[in-house]
Amino acid sequence: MRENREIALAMEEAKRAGRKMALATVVRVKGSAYRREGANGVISGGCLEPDVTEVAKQVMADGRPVLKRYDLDEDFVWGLGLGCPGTVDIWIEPVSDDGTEKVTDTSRSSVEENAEGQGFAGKEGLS
Amino acid sequence: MSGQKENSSRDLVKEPLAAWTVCLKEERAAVLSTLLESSSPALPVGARLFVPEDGEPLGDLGDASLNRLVVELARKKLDTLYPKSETCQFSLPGGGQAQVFVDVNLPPFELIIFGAGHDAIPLAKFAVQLGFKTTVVDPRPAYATEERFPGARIILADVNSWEERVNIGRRTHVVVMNHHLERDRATLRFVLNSPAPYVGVLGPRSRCQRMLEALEKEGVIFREEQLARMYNPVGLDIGAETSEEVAISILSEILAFRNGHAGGFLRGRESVHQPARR
Repeated sequence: MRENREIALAMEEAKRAGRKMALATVVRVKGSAYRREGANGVISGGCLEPDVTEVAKQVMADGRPVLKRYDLDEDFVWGLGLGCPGTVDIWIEPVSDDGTEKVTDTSRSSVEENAEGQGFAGKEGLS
Repeated sequence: MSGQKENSSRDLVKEPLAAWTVCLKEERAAVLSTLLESSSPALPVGARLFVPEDGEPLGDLGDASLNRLVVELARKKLDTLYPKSETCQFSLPGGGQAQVFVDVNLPPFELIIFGAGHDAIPLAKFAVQLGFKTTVVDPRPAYATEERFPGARIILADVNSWEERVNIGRRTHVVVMNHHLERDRATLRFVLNSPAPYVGVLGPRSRCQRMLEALEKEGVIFREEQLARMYNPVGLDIGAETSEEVAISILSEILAFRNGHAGGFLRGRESVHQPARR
């Protein structure tokens, strides 16, 4: 659980420094990859797994999230899989300075308004 | 749970990701859902919906019924002891599908050890290393010291002040090891009446049974459900002898319990990551 906290602190740190930021999250694992769903890392124009970093740069540039599949069977050896066979889906999304970036529909080119203010605020009972 | 940290910034946050970040930082239980893919071009990929354990949902995945289903799942996960993050498929009203990543953040799990004897030292040490927020409760100042239990919180308290000083929540695991019949009995009475999901009791079955009988004579009778949370003899069967080995045995049991796994040999098991029970 500590990892999550470190992610939050790293995001804050990048924000303070005014750096652009992308968040990469393992969202689906098939097979015996070492990390499970929910593992993530912040790529703030720095040096993480090379391919994710490349994709993250593109994500930061055009502001659209990307769902990327890595097939670890094709001897794709890197930090997440440690060479174990399996498929890992990674969601790479832009995170803007104020945390209120536009949500972009990747299947069309239109830009949606941010969900802020709509949705659920104040409707549900306390659990 | 506890109502502290009232002045946290989360009340000011109006955006799901920002609210989520606050929860990560403050180590609060919450779920963040992100729309990854959908068959409907009308749904905004990347949209987020945030559900905290102790508050209202925030955000919008672009469809009211999808929001409802996702909030329902998030609540269910927050009610589970050790929920997993995963990508789930949801059916949309028009017959389409949506892939939503449901990410769970939990506060650190706690371990409270009653008894600061020599065998509590490796237990506390390994628990701290595993990331448990670890507390040692004992009334004896010579034993319950920070030098003996680095990284653990010490509560110097006897039975009379437990109620007000020892806070046990539904993610707090408890191990009873006072090596003192009376204190163990009082501890049992206290912790089985708390929300602790796991209560490990050191010592043989006969000793534990005697304590329960003594409590019964005092008019303390536990329900089935309370006794079901008690683990005695404590630990997994690894043939532990030394206090370090016993600590490993106890913590292995706690991890297996928390993760919903059976706790045996992996060899011959078909799947490593599938829990035996939920």
